[in-house]
Amino acid sequence: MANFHPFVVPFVMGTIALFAICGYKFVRWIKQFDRKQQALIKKNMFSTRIVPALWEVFCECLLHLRITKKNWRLGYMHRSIAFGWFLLIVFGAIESRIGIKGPFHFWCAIFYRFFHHNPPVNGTEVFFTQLMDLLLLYVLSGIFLAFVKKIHSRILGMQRTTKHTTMDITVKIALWAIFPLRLLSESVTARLYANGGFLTQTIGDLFSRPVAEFLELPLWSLYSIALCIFFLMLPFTRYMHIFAEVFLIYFRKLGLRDSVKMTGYTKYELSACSRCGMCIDRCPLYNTLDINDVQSVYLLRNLRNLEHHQDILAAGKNCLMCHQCAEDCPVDIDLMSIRRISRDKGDTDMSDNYRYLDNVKGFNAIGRVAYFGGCMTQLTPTISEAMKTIFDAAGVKYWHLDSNRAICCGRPLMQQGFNRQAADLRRKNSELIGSCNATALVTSCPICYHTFKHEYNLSIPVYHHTEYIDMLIKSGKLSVKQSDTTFTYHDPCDLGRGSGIYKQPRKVLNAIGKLKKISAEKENSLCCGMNLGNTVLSLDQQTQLRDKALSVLTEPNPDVVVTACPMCKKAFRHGTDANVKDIAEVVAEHLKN
Amino acid sequence: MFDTHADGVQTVCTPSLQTNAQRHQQPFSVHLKKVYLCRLVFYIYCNMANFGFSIKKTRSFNLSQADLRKAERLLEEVPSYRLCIGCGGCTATCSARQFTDFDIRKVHNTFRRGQYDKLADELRKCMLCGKCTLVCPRGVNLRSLIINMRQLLTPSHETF
Repeated sequence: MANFHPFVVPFVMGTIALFAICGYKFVRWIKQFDRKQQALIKKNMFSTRIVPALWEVFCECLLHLRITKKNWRLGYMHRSIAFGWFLLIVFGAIESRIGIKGPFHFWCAIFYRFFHHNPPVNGTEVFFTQLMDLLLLYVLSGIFLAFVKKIHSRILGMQRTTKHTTMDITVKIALWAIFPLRLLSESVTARLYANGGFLTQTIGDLFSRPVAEFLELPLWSLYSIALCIFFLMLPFTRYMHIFAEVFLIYFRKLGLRDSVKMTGYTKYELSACSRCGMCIDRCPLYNTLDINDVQSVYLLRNLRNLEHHQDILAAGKNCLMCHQCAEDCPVDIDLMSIRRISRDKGDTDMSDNYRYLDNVKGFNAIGRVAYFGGCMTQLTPTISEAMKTIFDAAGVKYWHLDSNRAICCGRPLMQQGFNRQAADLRRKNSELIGSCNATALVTSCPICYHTFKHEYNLSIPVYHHTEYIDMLIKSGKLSVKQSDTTFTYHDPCDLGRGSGIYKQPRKVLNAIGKLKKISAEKENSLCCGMNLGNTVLSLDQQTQLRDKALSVLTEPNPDVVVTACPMCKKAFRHGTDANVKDIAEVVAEHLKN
Repeated sequence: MFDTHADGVQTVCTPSLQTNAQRHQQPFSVHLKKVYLCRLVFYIYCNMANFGFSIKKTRSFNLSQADLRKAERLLEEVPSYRLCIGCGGCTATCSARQFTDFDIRKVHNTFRRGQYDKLADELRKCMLCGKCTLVCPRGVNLRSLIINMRQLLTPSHETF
């Protein structure tokens, strides 16, 4: 058989197994999509959304732009391995198509130098030979960086890397071995037949001829075996992300999102996690409390392997849901939804008993703004008082929906996995707000805001009071006094990272006084520790989290520490002598009469 | 840990007590009204059954016979519950209590004594909003407490 040698057998077997297993898994997951997701796929499968999806696949799976933006060294490492390898395959295929004489098999592209011994003669062949060497060098530089990262991760800007399982470590060693083995085997062949480029020929010439003759076959065999091991283990280890991410990006562009239960889409997400460990460094639980086994990377791994059931439960519970990991994730996996899925109580928990809410009657508030303070604002009534002052000053007619009795928005239940119960509360609130005919809903609590905005399908616009105050000032209904007070602003998790509201509060505060910069703000803002997402932390641990956030906030010595969340305010006020206020209170104090 | 005064909540002031001298200065008609009022109250007290009231059954039980396994498990899961002094702050602030007769303090106290009957029905009224946790002066993690009680009382829970 021409162009065949027994050493290619492991590689061929590995490749066939890889595509068979991946194909089986991907088809099975697509079958596990829920009805809504399947309908979306049928609707959008061949729509124009395919173009941006392909573009994102190119940018993220090959160029790794999102990682590069966060950490250029890590970005270079990933790009050189992914994009470099991709180009090696593409150009290798083209080169072998041109060069191979006799029957062409797909392994000829991979082991081209072994099957094509003639030294490059014309311009095209010389170009390809040198290009392939350059690409190999590019990939090897990435492998070198990965090796450096393993020894000392701080050089690459990571404080801590993931603790991997034995499977993951084995497959990583196979991956690292592939390219040095390719370099060596091509060099040895180049020594014998002078068919190498600038890199392989130089290294090859270091060997003596008998040594090269002795090493050639073992080296090519090892290269083939390394590829085989990598391909065989890929579907069961973290390297599944190479293929899963492509599909995930495509489905996401079609409009698919996580459901409250584990679906096929979630399985794609779980497999798309490369366990890079970027979610670990800035997790407040690791950062402040040194808890290092509950981060998203470990939760996703356990969920994917469906092992360590107790670990899944424990790790699922111990999370602040502060959105920091979701912000840092280079694959943009919806980690908060997966956390909620891991907490899902399903039908095992008792049903609710909210019949007492049936008697709650709405109020006809045509033409008014509905103001929903939220449960937490009931504990900090100065915020709702300040909001009322602002409404009056701006001449806005309002209806205080929960002045004396508050129905919870349902988010605390959702965060703990009581999805059915939360749906009942949502239904009641939707009825109440829908029947009152208000023009808009303004809420003081970022938790409620996030829920009303993302979980309810309200027909009226929903604003957090920072947004609303900013709108009032912009439209000229509300005018504020300039003063020389200095502020620092704390971005609440659900308002900042959760809902992306960073500009409006800063605009409002800059109109009143001077906003000082702090070291961790906007996307990197620290959690106050009082978060409703966690039920496991002790008061002492919560206090540590709060103190860390406060130390950042009070560092530039502001006159007032401003926040936009009643819960953050409540947490901070007891930890510092500094003046802590909600943004509504600050505005109410600086109104022009 | 949380004082409500700084947030602007005012405590209800009790009316100052009148001295004996002031009481004697009241006109006779006022005095007479008070006498009739006292007699009315006494009449209602004597005929409470006719007004929809009844005498409470004694709620005594033998603690040594109670099944305390679930309660002990609860204390293991939520160690901060040992700090509870039963002040009732949780009940006072409860969102569900604003609508219905739901007493979370009574629920967790009863649970702790091993009297689990009917508690499941009560617990289903909780909206888990977390105000109770925020106001607790002893830092008891009440949300965790409620979630754990719910789980322990669910029939499918296989621990016991």
